[in-house]
Amino acid sequence: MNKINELLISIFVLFLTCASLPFPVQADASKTIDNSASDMIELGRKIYQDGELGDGSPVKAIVLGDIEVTGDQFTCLNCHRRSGLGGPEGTKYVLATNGGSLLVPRVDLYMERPAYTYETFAEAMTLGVNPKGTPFDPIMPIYDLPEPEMRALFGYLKTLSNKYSPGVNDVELHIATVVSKDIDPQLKNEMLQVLNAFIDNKNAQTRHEKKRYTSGPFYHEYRNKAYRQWVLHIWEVSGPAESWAGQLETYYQQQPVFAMISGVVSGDWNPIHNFSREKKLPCLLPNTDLPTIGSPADFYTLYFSKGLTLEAQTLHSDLAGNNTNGDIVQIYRQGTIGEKGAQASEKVARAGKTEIINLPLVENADWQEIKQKTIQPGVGAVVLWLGADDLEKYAEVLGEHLSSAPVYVSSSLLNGEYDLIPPPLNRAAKIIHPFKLKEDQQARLRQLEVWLKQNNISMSNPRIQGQTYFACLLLNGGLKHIKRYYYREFFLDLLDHGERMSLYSINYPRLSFGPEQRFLAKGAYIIDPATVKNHWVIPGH
Amino acid sequence: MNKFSFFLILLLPAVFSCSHSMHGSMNHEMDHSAHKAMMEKKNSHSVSNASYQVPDVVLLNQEGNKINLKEFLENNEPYALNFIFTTCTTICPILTASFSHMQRELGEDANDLQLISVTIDPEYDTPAVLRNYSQKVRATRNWTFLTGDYETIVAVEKAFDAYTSNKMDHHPSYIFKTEADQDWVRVDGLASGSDLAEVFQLNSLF
Repeated sequence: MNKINELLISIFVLFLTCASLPFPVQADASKTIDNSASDMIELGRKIYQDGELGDGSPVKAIVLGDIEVTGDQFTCLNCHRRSGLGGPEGTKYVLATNGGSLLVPRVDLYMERPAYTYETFAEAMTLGVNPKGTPFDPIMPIYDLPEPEMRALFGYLKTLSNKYSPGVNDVELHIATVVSKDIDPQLKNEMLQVLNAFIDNKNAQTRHEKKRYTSGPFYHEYRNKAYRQWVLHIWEVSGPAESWAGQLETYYQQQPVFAMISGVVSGDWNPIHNFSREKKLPCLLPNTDLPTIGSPADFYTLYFSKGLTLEAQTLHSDLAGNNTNGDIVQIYRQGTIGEKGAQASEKVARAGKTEIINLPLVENADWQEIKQKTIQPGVGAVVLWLGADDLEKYAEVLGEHLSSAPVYVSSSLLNGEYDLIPPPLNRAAKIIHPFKLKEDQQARLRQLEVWLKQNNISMSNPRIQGQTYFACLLLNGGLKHIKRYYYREFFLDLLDHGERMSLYSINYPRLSFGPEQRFLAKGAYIIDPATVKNHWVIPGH
Repeated sequence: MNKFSFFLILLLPAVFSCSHSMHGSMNHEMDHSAHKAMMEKKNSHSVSNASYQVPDVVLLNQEGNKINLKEFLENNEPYALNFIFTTCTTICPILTASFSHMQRELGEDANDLQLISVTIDPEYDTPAVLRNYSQKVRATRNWTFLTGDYETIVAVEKAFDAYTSNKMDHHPSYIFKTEADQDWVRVDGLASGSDLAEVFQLNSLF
């Protein structure tokens, strides 16, 4: 009898075990859930990040007691962020939901609860109570999740931010900056001097923090154990841009880093952008006018602005606002960054169906012919994607014969130094300026100058030095608040809430932070010396 | 207690305040807002009467059309207004969802109710971004999303007592105006769709 009982119990247990295992969703036979662990984690990720069930339909939920919402409007990621560590917004504080938090008991000043099991997790999701039975804040939706999806989500959360990201150990945090070999050595030096000085200072100022936790109250351990020595790696790439990914991979294999910061290369930032995305490696504020303008899914690279594309969009917004008629004539030097500006402008113009005439400069260019083409009737506007030397030549050949059509000059090609525009252009040309106005920049520049002087660096390139210094401030701010949670996604989640850092911006006006916002400055000035007016333009407004 | 101990006790708050200020600039309020949020009463909202001076400014709707806010509001009573931004992580999705649910709760009573959502992140929330957002939240045709230049939006926020210097610190609120009342009705805090419908019905003459 006992043996029969044992057999029956075994069958029952086996049945329960099978019943609790993930099984394919019936809603759409063409899209079934595979039971393999990696597929379940991927399904969990889709539920968490996209609010989608296994059959592709949106997750259903109820929030604040009676508001029915769908998962695509109300994903877990929305509030708990990509890292799962949550955080504050306005008057609300979103709790951490990563494995490291859920699977351990919590006993602190704010909460006491046992560790989550799958069963208590499922209850939390469907009933809105924690394992102790305490109700959640009603802003936490309750979800209608089938069991396989519930298990997949729990499985995904277990893997979320559950071990430190690569590039950090108990004593060191590794960061890299990317430079291309063909970059002007002075430019490279200007950037590296700032990076090295900032990191040396930081390491010097926090050199004793690791020891302090041994001789103080409990919170000293909590705080001071989080400190790491920063180690900077210079990843120099050379040769064709197509080979950079391989070179970066080699550097990464030798020493993984937690993040990339600043950097300067010739040409597009795209190879580094792609590397950052593939490695899920934060890339903070590179010095580039040619960022990759991808999808919001490109989470890992944060840029100052859209660079020359922003200038092009601002230009065409201004032209449209002034009802400009006629052809847009663009002058640029072939093979330079100016050509990229002209191409970006052409792309924007195509969308608006404006006619563009390009005048590329080659060696021994016929400036008289170029001048004629810019002052002839039918020209709606002239755009000069030129550096200081070529502007000088164009101004020389123009004499006082300015085009009757408006003339625009790119400020990025002058490194923001629009004082370099020669007469008569400086009296008439509109300047597309995606940087702070000189008068608004003085206070921050003076601060930078003092800091540089303290570190025996002369201020020779306010743009590169200012941008690099601000990138360091942002890195420092993010790492300060990361405490001991060294997860790359958490670092970026924190930066998304770094709105107050815009106060410290040296080169760019009105930085705005936020999830999915990967270009901090959204607009540019049109400086018009003829009317002595500066007009702030947000493309698309 | 000897003098030295007394001195130490006096010194303690100063020591703690210094250790906080040493945290530096970025998000230094972050930890404090966490404390504040933890201590707040949950699911609380309050209803009050308010009087506002609507600024005579021009904004853009999600189609990119210019809208004179004063005229638009005067011509579209009754209306309900809130402040949101499209990349907001926690509060705005609820503000938006509760508007939507209030509409459903009101049924035919909501036919004349104009919903207005003004962005507090105008530089990112261009008309095109707002258009995408309105599609994502399946906004009905009598729901207008407004943006504008930064200074104008700040003026609108201040006029409705909704301004915070950092958009991440924004407070949830809903503002109602019906033809029946000279004043506005303001709901502070997050409210459910049925709570909002009730507030609206109590303050309307149908």
